[in-house]
Amino acid sequence: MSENARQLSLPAFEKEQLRDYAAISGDDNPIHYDEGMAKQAGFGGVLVHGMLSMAAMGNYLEVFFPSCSFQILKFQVRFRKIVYPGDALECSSVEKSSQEPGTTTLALSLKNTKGELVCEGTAILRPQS
Amino acid sequence: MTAGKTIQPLYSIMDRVLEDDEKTSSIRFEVEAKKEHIVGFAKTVGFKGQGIPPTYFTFFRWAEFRWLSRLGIPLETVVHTEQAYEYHDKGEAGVTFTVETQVSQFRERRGLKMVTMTTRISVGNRLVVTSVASFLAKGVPA
Repeated sequence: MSENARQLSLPAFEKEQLRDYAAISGDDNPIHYDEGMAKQAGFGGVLVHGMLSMAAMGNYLEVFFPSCSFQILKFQVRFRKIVYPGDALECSSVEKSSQEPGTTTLALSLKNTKGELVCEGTAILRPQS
Repeated sequence: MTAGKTIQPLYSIMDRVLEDDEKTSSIRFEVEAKKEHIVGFAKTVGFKGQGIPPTYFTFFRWAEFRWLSRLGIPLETVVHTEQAYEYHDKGEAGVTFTVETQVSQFRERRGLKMVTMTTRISVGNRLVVTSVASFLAKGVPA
């Protein structure tokens, strides 16, 4: 399957969602919901939790490799650029050669609408027996 | 939102601390993965799959925050730079996880602090997930 066939537009995160995520995840770092603290820390405003971006990539995996059919063995990401509320995102993947037989290895990319890479990673999946 | 207002966690992150002493090299605690919390987490992040969402284990980062505090790093100066999960076995709703977090690397250069922590999440003797998280601290804000 080509990279284009696995592109998925993801909705932008809204500030309200960041507050909900802070409450449910326990990650209550104020830079994610307090504009004053975020600016004092050197950011342009509140920023999206990195783990929320990773969760969006997990949702991407669910669309193309649903958990009813695939098991995730490894999932790792590197956060390259800050994501702000309102930034629309697009996730895509390229299949790589897998070192473990019977598994699929994906190189994942998450880009903003400017085409900037905000997050990249790798997922290794195995079909459920 | 009012500046300085804190977020009220919806669930208790840890049920029981097993090891959290300044002299110990790891912090351990127990937490039950309640079904309603997993469902709430999945809904918040937009996960529509079966079982536990792949990033749900971020909920067990309480010890990472404890370690940052111990290292004198204010949370608001920290950005998450890398996250890796290795899933060894399935976790289910309703089970009690034992979470053990250690600092696996700490470097300081030109005012920047780089911390990597490794967390082992188990059910009894069964290792379910290994998490490796890296953070960059930019220094105390003015």
